[in-house]
Amino acid sequence: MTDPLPPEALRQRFDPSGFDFETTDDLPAETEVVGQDRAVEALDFGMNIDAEGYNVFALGPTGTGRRELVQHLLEEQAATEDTPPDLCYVNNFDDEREPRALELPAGRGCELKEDVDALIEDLQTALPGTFESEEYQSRREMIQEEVREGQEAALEDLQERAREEGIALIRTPQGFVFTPIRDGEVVPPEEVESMPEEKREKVQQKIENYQEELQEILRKVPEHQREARRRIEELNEEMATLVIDDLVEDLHEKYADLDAVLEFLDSVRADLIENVDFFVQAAQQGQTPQQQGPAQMMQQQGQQGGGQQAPAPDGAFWRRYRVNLIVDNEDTEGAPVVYEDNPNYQNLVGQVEQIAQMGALVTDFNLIRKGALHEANGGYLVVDARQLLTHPYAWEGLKRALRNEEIQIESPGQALGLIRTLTLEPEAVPLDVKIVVVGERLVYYLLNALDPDMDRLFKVMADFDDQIDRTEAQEDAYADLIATTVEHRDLKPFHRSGVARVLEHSLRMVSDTEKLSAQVADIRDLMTEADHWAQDDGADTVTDEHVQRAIDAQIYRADRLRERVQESIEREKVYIDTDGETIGQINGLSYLEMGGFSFGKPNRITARVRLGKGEIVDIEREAALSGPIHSKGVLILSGFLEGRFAQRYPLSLSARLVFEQSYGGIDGDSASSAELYALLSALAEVPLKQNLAVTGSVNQRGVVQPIGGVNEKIEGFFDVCEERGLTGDQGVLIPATNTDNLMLRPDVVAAVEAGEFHIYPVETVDDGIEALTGVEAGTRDEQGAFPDDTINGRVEARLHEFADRRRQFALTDGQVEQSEEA
Amino acid sequence: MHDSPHSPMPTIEAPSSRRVFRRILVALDDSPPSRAALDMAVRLAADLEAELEGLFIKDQNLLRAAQLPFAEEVRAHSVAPKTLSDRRVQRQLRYQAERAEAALQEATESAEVTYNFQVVEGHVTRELLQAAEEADLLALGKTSTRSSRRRLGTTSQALLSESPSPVLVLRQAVRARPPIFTYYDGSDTARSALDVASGLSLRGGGHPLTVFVPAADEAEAERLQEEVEAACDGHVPHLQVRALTDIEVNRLATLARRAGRGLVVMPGNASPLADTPLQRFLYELDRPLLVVR
Repeated sequence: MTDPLPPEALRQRFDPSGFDFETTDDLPAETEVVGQDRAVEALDFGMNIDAEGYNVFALGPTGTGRRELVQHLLEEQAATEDTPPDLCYVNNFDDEREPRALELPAGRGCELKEDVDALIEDLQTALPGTFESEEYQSRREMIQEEVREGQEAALEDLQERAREEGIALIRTPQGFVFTPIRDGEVVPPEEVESMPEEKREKVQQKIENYQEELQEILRKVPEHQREARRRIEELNEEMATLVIDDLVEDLHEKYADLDAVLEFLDSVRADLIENVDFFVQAAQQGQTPQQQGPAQMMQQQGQQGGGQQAPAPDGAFWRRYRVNLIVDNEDTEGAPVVYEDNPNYQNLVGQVEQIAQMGALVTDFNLIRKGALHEANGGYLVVDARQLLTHPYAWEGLKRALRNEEIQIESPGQALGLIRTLTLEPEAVPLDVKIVVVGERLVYYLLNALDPDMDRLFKVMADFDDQIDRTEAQEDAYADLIATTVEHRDLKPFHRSGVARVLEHSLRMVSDTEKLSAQVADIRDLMTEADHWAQDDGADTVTDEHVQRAIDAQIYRADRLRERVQESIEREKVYIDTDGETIGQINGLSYLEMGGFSFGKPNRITARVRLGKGEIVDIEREAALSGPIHSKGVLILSGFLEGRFAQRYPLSLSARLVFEQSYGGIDGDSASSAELYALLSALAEVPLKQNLAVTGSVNQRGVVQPIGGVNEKIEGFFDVCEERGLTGDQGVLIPATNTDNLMLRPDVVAAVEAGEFHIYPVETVDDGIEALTGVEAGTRDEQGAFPDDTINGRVEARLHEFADRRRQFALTDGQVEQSEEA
Repeated sequence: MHDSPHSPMPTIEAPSSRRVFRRILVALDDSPPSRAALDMAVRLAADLEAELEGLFIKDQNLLRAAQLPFAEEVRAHSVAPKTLSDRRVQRQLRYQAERAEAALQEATESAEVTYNFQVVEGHVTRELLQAAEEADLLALGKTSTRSSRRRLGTTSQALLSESPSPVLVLRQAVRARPPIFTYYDGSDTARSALDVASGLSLRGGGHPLTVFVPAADEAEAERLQEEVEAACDGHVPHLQVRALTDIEVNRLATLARRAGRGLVVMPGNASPLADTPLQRFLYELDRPLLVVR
């Protein structure tokens, strides 16, 4: 007979006096993470390897603090790295549809933007001023005068010469006419007609000659005008250049070390000079620049092509020279670590905003907005996998940027080729970033299996465990983690008894005395709730009482169903015996988990046997109420039975196994040993004790295998017994190897200490059947037979009997039965 | 307070009287200088409560020239000269006249001025001289086309030299309230000019009046200044008298130009004007010039 387990084996205790601190205030509170060595090393590797495609996927169950750990480690690392440059977009004067990207050392982008704004402000007064100045006006006048005077001089000379020959040059509304003149009067037509032919012809000839000469002079007019225009343009350029160079010179010096900026300044200068006509005309028309909001600005820009007279350079015009600073790393210390909590496509890759205006959408480079990739460029980006994958096109967009090693801002519609309207195509920016995607295991494995890009882009997996090895060092670290949480969440300090209780609960959470739970989110919540109860009490520190109360409260909030289940057993709606003995009936134990709360309950399992063809029927399976693992368990126990008892005789029984009053699905093979005991009891016709419950799965050799949820199952049976009043001999049989999973409730342990409840570790089926019947199991003697008064002996005898009967039945065609009975 | 509307005699009345000019004649053609003259004439007419008469003259010489058998018009933008027919010229002149009238109407739109418009055919200079006899002031553009600063049209030259009435000649528009400059050397003509100048400066909100006086010495300067102040009789709000040296007198036109964008009233017989070719004086001055004889 197996000895019950001692009370100490049923629950690991942390002795508060074993700690070398009084409360968490005495601890440094520096620990952000405990254990997770594999994941930490993977992250470290991923962060540091300087090769393409080594981005990290941090996978693990939620609540293990993955994101916080990732962010913490990244921030630590990033603090030692260089700060990346600022990023600006500026106008591309050669093709305004493709704004240029401009990189500057961190902090200088802001400077440049301000400097350019100041430059624009200065230009806004200086340029019109120049063209309104006396100097300009008079120089321009002079050029025009020169040209006019030249023309007039030629005309006057011609006029003078003609006059000397008696020909006048008279202006007509549309040109000039030559006419003979005498004494300041035009010769009347009658007189001309009465002139002698020769004389008249001579006059005519002279006039024709002069006409030709005049024609020549007039022919040169457009040329002279062009010349004048050209000289005025030169003048305009000269004046503009003076002003612009003067203002831009300072900037040239300031940014002399940045070629890209110098290039930009040069292009601004060139464009201003090219557009000098704007300012000239504005000065001529006496208009002044205005400051307006972007909508009106865009409106004016939109109307510029409307065929009106040349517009003044107002606010809209000056936008073209501005600097759109989209990433400002002035205040960034080290490399950036960005967590994008809404990783849709635009938030990741950036976008070009647009303004609606009179039914159309307009935009310019000033409306380019950064994405998380821009912000994290040169550093690290953290995103959540599920969020990333549920936003349309975000995953594709991210991968594309990583593959191409550049950030291309375009709308998803553009990227998919769906949009045909013209829009901006900002210059792509080279991308140098490490991405850490945090996700569940299932997501990782699915992506890995289905997306070929995963191998190329996310070569590092950081696998987070749900459990932490329990060593002294880890225990200390765990205690410090508790202290850190107290600080972060501003809780009352935890007394060491409270810390001990939390640690115990951590073991219970994983049902393992050798592992601590890595579900730090749940631990932190427990602590917060314990703190609440401590505050309720008005206590200074959080003690084990408060922690227990928090645990109890959590359970109470969640265990309505368990209560109903217990109630139905109490009220005998569901039949469970806790004393006496019955053949072929046993208390199995099952485990339910709903909404994060799990509990166990006893289940009556019965077995009935008869003569048959050797089949063991699992009624649950027949009724399609069992899962494959359960069916497998039943097949295994059949295998055991056959293996032990059917070597020389065919198995001639027909047995039925059922979970009584179970109308929902069952899976798992943790009750296969219980089913086997029931079957053996039915065959041997030896009753099983009903004051014991059994859990454990069995293999074909009759070895009892470990199961899960051992604590809940024990407690489930205990609660039923306790409700009825412990008889002192009640208990539970568990697989021996599950002993180190035991973290039973203190009240259960107390009952065991008082000798009122017992836990029996069982290694083989024989151990178990002995404990359940009080009868020896029996081993084969030299002849290979089991002793008669043992369970095995009786089982074998019965099976032998079945086999004989069956044979007889077959031989005598059913007659045997009559005579035998008689 | 209004005097009787049509007083035909071009009398200059004493400064205490408010009517400097009662009838202003402006010669209209289709050119920018003429338009400038028109605008200024309208303003003066409004300020001085004078009548405005616009006159468009169809050049008789041109009409005759068109009647000649071989008359051809040389134009700037065509390759060969085009036959100039009488009918065509008539038509063009008619069109010009219509435009001149339209300009007159437009210019007087917002001003409270009584005006009328007349078209005559004849010799331009002669017609203007004749019309000038019946007006208190004749205003016209310096040239009849858009020209250089240097050029002075023959018509304007003739009128400035021979007109019995004051003549106002200008090349470009000037702003609404110009300061007035004049030259006083003590002669009767200078006195008439001073009266005109002070009368103008009183009207329309008061323009500053600067009087240049040629003075060989201090005593002369003082004497002339007293005469000026006496003539103005304290009516002129911003009066300034500037004594000029000989050299300055010789360079009066440049000096007046530099002194500001104003209107210059000159007695016709004053030495700076009489001793300089008109064209050069006007070139250096480059401001509206009103000559009083």
